Amino acid sequence: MTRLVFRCFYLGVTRYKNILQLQEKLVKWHQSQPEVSTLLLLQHKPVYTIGLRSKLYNETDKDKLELLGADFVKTNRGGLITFHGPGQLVVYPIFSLATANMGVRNYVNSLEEVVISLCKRYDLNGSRSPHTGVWIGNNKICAMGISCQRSVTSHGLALNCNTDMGWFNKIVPCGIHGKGVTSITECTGTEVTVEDVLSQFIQDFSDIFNCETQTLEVLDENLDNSVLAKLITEKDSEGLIKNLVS
Amino acid sequence: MFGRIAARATLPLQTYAQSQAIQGTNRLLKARRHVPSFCCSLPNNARGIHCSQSLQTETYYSDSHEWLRVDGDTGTIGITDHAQSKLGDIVFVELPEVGTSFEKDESFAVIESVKAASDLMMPVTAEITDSNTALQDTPELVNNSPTEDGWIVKVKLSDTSELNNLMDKAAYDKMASEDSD
Repeated sequence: MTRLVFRCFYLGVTRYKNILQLQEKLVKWHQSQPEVSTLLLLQHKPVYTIGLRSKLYNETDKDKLELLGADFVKTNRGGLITFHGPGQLVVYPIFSLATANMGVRNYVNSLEEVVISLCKRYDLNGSRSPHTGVWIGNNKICAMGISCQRSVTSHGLALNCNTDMGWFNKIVPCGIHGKGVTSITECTGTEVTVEDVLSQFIQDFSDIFNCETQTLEVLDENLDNSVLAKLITEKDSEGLIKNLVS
Repeated sequence: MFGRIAARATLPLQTYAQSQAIQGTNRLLKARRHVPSFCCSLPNNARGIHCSQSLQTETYYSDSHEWLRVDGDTGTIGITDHAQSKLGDIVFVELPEVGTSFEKDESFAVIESVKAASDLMMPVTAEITDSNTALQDTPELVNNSPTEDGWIVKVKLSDTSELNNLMDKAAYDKMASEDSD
């Protein structure tokens, strides 16, 4: 099996639609270059997103949530409704499952394992349930929703670090009644930020997926998806990053 | 001979049915490859013609784990048992509209399992003539019966020469055995 090499990018706090368009471009690129693997790490401005089973939600739901000051975006990923916002680590691995010789079920299981491993660092006992994602007891700490097109993955996971949990009260997260949501900060009683867990996540991802991860490249969070796509798909992006930052 | 169908399409149905009644044996269908179970569930007086047509039925496989059962220029498409086990429990199937045409390798349907939405690719260029609406209420049919009740679409092929690009069962089984979970 080819050992994958992931280029890792931290994009800061971003607008969901911008990153959705970026992912679409990157998926096409990865379909033509299945030997390349990319890991996007970021946060989103407040947004509620729904997945493939969009008929479960209607215009009234959308309007109600937008009135709260969040965006509302329909996607083609699996999973139901969820919230993304500042304080939540969002990770989008974009790579070819065929190159990795991995099936979808195994891939999702491995992502859960990465998060469980990360939770252990904070003495939190992460667990699985029949509902995909990672749980601390009865509360979900990490949601997941994936898309796989011609074997290339997109979308991914969202781990609550110090997210404002109030946003979740307005929905039934992931359509699961009777369960709650939580964050690392809430569980540990100590403020844990997205920046705190970034390198920890990359390390655990590298261990579980048995892959290489290159040095994290930090990109300006205000960049348009076209510029981001150019930076990410350029083999030698260092020169370009320097030019933009200076 | 014993149990073998010698009937051709031109054999009168009555004679065929009578000969079977006299023999009183189960027929061994000498299809070249896979024989669909729906063939045996047809009423007796239709069985003669259909069974002889099923001698032309072939099953092909794509490298993205779709199967295509062809009869002339019509076919049925689904995913293999290997594919459904790699996906996990299926909770939703997004079916294409009947009448839509797709190019070979174009995404025509999406299957959701374990919060993952995976697209299916057309093994050949074809028009959708029917979709398995039973999957809307019972998507688990794809897990439980991937090559029979869990079929996904029926199609009319545009170019049967594209079948040359697909695998037979032996080649597919070899590929699947080298594939991990």
